[in-house]
Amino acid sequence: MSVLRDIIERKAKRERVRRHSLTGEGKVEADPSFRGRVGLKRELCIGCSLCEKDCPSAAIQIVQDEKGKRPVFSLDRCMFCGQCKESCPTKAIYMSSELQLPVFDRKALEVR
Amino acid sequence: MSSSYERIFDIPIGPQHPALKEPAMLKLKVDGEHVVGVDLDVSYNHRGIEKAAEYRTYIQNLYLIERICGICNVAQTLTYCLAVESLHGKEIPARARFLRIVAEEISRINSHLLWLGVAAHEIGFDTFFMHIWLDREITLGLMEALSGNRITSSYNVIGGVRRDVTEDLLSRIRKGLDDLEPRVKRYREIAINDRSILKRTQGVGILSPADAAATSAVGPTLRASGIKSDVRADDPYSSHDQVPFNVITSDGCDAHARIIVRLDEILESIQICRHCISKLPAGPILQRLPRRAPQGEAMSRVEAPRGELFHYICSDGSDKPYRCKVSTPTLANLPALVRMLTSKGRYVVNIADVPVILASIDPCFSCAARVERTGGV
Amino acid sequence: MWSAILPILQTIVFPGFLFLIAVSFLYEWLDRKIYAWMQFRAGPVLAGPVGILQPLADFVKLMGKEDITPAYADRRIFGAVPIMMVALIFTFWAVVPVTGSAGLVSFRGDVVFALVSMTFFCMLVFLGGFSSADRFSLLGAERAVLQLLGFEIPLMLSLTGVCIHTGSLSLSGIVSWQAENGWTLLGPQAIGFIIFLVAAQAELERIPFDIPEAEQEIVAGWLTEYSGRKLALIRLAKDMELVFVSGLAVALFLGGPVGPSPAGLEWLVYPAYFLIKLALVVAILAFIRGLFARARIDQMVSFGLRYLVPISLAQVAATILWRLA
Ligand code: SF4
Ligand code: SF4
Repeated sequence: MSVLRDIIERKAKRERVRRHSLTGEGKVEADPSFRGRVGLKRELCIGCSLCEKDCPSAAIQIVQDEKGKRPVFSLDRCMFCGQCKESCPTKAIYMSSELQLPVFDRKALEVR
Repeated sequence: MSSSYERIFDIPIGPQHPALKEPAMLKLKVDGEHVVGVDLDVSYNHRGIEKAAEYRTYIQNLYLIERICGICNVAQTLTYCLAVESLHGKEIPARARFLRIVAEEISRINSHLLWLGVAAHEIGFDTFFMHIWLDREITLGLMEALSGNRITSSYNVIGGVRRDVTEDLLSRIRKGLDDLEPRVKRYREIAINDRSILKRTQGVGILSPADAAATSAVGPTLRASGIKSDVRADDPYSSHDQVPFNVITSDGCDAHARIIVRLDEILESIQICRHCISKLPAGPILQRLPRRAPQGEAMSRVEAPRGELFHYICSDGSDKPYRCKVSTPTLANLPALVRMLTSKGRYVVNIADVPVILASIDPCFSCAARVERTGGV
Repeated sequence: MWSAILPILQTIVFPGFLFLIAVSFLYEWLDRKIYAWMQFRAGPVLAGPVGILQPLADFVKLMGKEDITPAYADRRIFGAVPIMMVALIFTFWAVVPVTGSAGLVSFRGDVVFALVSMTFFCMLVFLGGFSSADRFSLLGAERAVLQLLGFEIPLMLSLTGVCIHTGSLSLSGIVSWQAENGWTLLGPQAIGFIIFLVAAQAELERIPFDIPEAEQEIVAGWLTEYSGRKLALIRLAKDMELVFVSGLAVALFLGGPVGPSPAGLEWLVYPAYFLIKLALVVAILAFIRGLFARARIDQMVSFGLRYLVPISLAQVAATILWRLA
């Protein structure tokens, strides 16, 4: 019964349920420090492929583009550990706090 | 012909059962509502992590080891990092050591609150369960702000910690702890006073101090049997020797004592966190270490939320470990669990008590599944 | 012509079957909302306005699911139990007064008749569990019968107090006694009311007495093997039982549907009274559900026999003394 007292006290303090949703009102927002979607600042990358070497889930592939070697991230394999960001010598990799990544096309999960 | 043989009935709890959050098999031999024997099998989820660790570099292993257990991921990486650092024979910076303690204690609070909710659910007290998990949101938020993720923190790295804290974040942590403390005190009050909780947990799952020592139980299970044992105090790692704290024990020896011990530990962890934040030394947070570890062996142990966690790493001088061995607290607690589940003399175990007893050691069977079973436990 | 059709309409539409089904869905929703409110959850929100159609949606969904009968089950009994449960509640619902002091059917001694329904229901639970040929079902069935031992006697005694107090063995008699004497029953029979509520909680298999279907211990107890259509019917029967038992409490202790009303509008006002009082009882039952941990079967039986029985006996004795004085 001591739970009853707790409930009454908390209700008196007008504590209530917070509704969450994916879009619109009550949209869930991650903390700014959240490790979300990975991104690349192309101009900083020197193509050293250290990120590929350290990625624990083999989510990074080094490809050749017009400016030389660069990584491509597959977000469907990525587990957002942030090791690539850590390993990069030129700080070319960043992580945004975007946390909702549902898509219909797998291609959209490739960060180029 | 009525022999006692005919009255014994097998009740399988598992591999899938609502009381179990993970696959494990408890074959209960019951006589009416009384459990007279138990046969335990936990190796349904052998993931081969130790073998996989031999094929990955030390850096990649960090994230593999982290995934041994979701809830004690901070303790897992901490133990692993301590072992690798001792291979290198290097001390890490003081600020990193203190930050590691902060992360460790927040995750301990997190784990204990989770467990408390589960325990309430196991005795059918869903209101209590929901309330506790609502407040657990506070620590999850702190973890997210500190490390960038709610559960899988990746906070400890070899040689230090991943992120530094700002003054702003420290005051956020302080505020979170201030919000949490009165709530935990209230839950402690409820757990001590509520008749329906007392009825279900007192005198249930008794583990006498002698039994606890004989079965080498660890963690809160051991401390609730009145034995003062805590790796943080006995064999201090990462500056725990500079942080004053009490080892919580209780003489209850039953499931209720385990609830109280864990609740008190949360309060103690809050104090430890506060101390670390106020005494946080300045300086770097990372000591860069080479990718290749020198040849040798290293062991480390850490007080994880569930008890003593042990890692062993053997290095052949390359950038991958030669052998990696993990022993989780649940494995150490299983013999004690079997003893608690068996009626003996005047100590009677009802079927209705099984989920409570099972939950009271805070089992994490998938973490414990590092051995294949040959015969009974 | 009209007089021939009216009873049929009454039985099927109002206050009979359809009304009962609608009301039981409504009060399941209320029960879930209150329970969620206590736990700082939102409860059902998606189906219909504020989730009011959720119980109906659940029912329809379950109806469409695969229906499995275990290979070793006693097929006939196993299949008959859900239907019998629904039929049982439909039958006994007829005695509950909804539109006036009397129900659809009213005779001397219908209190006893209503009481028997609880035992019948428990027997059906036992049959359902027993015929499933499953360990968990068997344990659940065994527990259901044990639980019956614990709460049946106090339940009967609490009703005895009311019957002696009003000097009537029929629900309509009790309701009209309360109407005449200004609803003064609840005061002296308050203990009886509380005991009735506790026993009702046990009869309805809700926390703290959801022992026969304790999820963490024996999966779903006697319900373990039921699925699809059969489970939907059992769930419906349990919802209707909630309304039926609460309806009994309303008639016995809270004065039934009768109350002050503008002349000629009784057909509208009385059912409204009934629904409001019903909501009150369901709310109390939902509160009880949110405040306790599940008891163990031995604790439940000893609680019933050790505390509830003597208290209700004392209540009956006091009532008898009051009648004699
Ligand atoms: S965040 Fe981790 S998993 Fe994802 S690409 Fe970077 S290193 Fe690989
Ligand atoms: S580590 Fe940095 S610089 Fe090197 S390839 Fe990756 S993104 Fe480019």
